[in-house]
Amino acid sequence: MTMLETRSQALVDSAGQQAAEESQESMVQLRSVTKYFANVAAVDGIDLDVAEGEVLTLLGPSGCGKSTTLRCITGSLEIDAGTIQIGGKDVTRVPTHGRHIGLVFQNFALFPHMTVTENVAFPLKVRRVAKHEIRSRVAQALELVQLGQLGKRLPRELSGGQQQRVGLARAIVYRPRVVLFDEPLSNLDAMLRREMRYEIRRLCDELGFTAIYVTHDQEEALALSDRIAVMKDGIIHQIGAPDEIYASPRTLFVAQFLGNPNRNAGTLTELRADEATVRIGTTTVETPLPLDEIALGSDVVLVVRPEVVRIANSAEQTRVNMWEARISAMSFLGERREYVLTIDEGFELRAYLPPDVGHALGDVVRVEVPIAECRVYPGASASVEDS
Amino acid sequence: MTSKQHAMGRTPPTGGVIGSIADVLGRVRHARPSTLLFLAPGVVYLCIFFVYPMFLTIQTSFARNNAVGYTLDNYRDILGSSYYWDVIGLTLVLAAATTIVSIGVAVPLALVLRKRMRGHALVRVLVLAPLLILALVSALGLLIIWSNTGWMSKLIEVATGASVNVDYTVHGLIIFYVWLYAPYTILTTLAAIEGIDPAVEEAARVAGARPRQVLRRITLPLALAGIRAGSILTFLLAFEAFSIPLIAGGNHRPLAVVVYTEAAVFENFPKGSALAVIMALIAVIVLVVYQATFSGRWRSGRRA
Repeated sequence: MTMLETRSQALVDSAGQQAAEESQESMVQLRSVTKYFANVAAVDGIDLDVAEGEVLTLLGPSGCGKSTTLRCITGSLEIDAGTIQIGGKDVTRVPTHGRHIGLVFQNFALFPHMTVTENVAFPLKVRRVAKHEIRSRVAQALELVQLGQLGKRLPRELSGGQQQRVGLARAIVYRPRVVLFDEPLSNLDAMLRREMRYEIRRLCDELGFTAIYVTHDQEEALALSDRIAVMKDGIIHQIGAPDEIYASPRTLFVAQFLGNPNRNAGTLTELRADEATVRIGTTTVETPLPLDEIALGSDVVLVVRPEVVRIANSAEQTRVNMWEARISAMSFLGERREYVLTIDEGFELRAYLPPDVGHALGDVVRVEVPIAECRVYPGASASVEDS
Repeated sequence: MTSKQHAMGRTPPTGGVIGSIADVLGRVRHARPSTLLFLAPGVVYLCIFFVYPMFLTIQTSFARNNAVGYTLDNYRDILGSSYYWDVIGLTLVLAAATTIVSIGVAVPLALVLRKRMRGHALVRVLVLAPLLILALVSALGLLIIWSNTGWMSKLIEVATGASVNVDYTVHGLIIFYVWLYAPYTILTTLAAIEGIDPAVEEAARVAGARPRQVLRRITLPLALAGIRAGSILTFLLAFEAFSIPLIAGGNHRPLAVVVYTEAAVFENFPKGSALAVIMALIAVIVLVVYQATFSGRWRSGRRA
């Protein structure tokens, strides 16, 4: 008896300690989660920690494994390797209905034969919550998504935006600690998408649940998230705060997936203590040291965001990374003008400038790109074409 | 039941058959001449092959056998005799049992077949097999393998120790009926269950519903319209079955066989006609009740 007690006590201690540490750390924890579809790893050994109350976005192109990751967390897909913890509890082998998480679908996935009220009440009904409690909590949830008046309607009698609000209410009504969003806005039109984005963020903050949000829309990800995980081919390329990822993309893929930066193929010609030189055609570009180790003379891709390219005025002295360029294309986009500046054969930069800047097509101007704003990634010109 | 109407929420849900008839009439009234022109072939066809024979049958049902003038005697005879009530009862029991067993076969089968497992295409073709064979041939074949000396009965006897006596028995008839008429229910049930968006069922699971709750509250209610459409066909076909009970029924004679016996064997056409009219009325009543019962439940979904 005593031996057993001590033994189990020790077990509880170590497990408890571990669990306590982890639950403090993360509400959702993925370790080496792997999912194969016909011998192709759709999710390839992902590690992920989502803190309590955090909004984390899985961002990536279609087929990158972001939705698959989500389906592994819900339990709709059985994982081939790894473990999943929710709230410090290992749920790897727990069936979907026992995981107590909310899920908002891309195509809403409302129950077409139930009214709005019945849809929202469903998670409570299957949990055998008392009737009066169901009524008040459904009303509360519908109020939260501003659908108080439409309880008696059927889903098909609602607009897309209203249907997704019902989907939201259904996902939060049983107060799950984790709510997952699978591209919830991609079936809505642009205006509504922006509005709903703020609404979702407001709900996250108000109710304090942990959210994992899947999208291929970088703007949505930037606007909504505490942290973004950029995914491709079943692995996470980079994870961090939106501004951090935008400013310092870890890989060329991340750089070109966020924003629409200039990419120019060149050759690495010099590496110094804290700077490097890249040659594109006959032009040399001074850059910070590349993040990856790259051998001198190898092909690289220079990435420059269009908003950091500036046109120098005539009084300025020529400096490093200031070149003459011809304006080879120009378009007016309302809040800005987009210029294509040709510096050299194979070296073009797009620049966003205020709409009142008065340059004409064919003008020769001097452009400057601050050294700190240049990014260099390994890669041949072929990878510039792709994406 | 067009989805457009419901989407607009303009027309209140009207009940089944009667609603559809009112709907059609309403549309005809506002139709353009070209629409009426397109309707003409169908209407003419219906008149020649349905309305006129139906009229003749009704007219004959009030005639006196081998005499002039009209009478209610045929109906009085039928409705006053326990023999005919037994016939009606047997017919309804056979049709209802066939329908219930068909649904019992169709639903589990559809739930299995919608997962694209190996060989599901073959099973689909096999489901259709009864429809490819002439009912008469089918009946004779069934009679041979299921008869007391047939190998199916022997097999069951060896396997379970109990003997299934299908020769000229009611449960034997039901087995034959199910073989022939279940495919209609199976096909529509399969289509209905496969038509359900898997995301909707996933939503239910994530919301906390156990597999059983998903089936009862989501899958079955959503498939109900399809199950109903197919099972009503099965019911009507079983209700009007003729060749099977003629061959395999023995003394168990359902309505269609009795109508045939009255009219063609005893050459009492008025009585046969009256029976036929009663049979048609029962079919219509069943149809209306069936549709009203299930459609109300399915449409509002209040029960879920």
